[in-house]
Amino acid sequence: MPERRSSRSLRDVSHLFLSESRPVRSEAPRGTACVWLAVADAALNRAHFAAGLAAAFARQGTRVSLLEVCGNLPTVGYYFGMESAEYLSPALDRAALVSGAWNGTVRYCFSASLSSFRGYLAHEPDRAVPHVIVVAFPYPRRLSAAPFLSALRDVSGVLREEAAPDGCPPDATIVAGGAEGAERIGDCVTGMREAFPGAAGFFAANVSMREAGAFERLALPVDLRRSWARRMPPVDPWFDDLAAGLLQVVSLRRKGTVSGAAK
Amino acid sequence: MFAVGKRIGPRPTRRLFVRFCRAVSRLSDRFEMEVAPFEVTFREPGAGFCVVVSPLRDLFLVSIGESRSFDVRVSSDESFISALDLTVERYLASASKDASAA
Repeated sequence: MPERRSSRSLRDVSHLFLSESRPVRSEAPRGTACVWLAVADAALNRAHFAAGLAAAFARQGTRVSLLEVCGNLPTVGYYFGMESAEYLSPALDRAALVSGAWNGTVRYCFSASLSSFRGYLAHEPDRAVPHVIVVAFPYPRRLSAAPFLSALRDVSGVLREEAAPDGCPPDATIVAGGAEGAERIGDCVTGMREAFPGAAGFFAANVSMREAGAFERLALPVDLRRSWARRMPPVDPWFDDLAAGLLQVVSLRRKGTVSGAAK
Repeated sequence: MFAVGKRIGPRPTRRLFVRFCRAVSRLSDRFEMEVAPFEVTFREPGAGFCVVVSPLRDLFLVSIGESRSFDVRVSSDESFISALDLTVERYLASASKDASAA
């Protein structure tokens, strides 16, 4: 009787797909997935969301690099337990670039100034482990959105730990916002779709929207705010499901690209 | 806001006052700012969160909560950080409490 193979966990599958040795897309380096989180308004706590997502990716067994453009407080440093002088330093100096590590799995950096990220030094990568890059930022007003996204794509390349002439464009984008900001979220979805048509798109908000198009809606848990004050990344099954789902989507899209190229 | 801050003599402290008010105003889109001759108040309607920033001669005073139960005197980067940390923490706690009550 043939030996029955045990089923593989999502982590194994994600690892295998993300560790694909063939370069499948010019913008997707080996074993690295890039997720952009655009926050439409301050009704949703960007740092809380980004820290929760980064920690969830880490629980999926990936290394995580998180870059946050912090237009307002709190910064991710608050949720990763930084001293107040560190996590609040962008309030004193917009150009301050602060970096740190959490639990040995998440490296993060934040600044209020995009150009400051050019000074970030990536660490020696452990290429045996898949790498997820999370870029979190407040979505700018419509007129300045295109140049901002272009500049962000360039500077976020510092997290790729290898030569990144085209910066770090997203494999997946998440647009998030509060229930009262439907118009802003709509602008944000439209802008992200136009800027990155090849990326998988999601929007996380408790509003319905005509502009959503191919963006998949993720209903935000109503009680997410309850953990806003805790100085640690939120632990919620919603983040774990989101991280697992994103890895799966990115992996399947890459696999599809490889299969398509092989035909 | 700038006009109220002019009551503070030392320019570095005046700068801290403006930075503090700016950082607090960006905590939430729902904040209402009231500028009075001797103080600036930030309040989130219905949330029970309130910060009053009062410029004095050489410093400014940050009072947190409707009952002004916490006062921090700010005249340096260190006291600025203490006041802002407390404000951020109290604001987030207030938002969390609202979510729990809802």
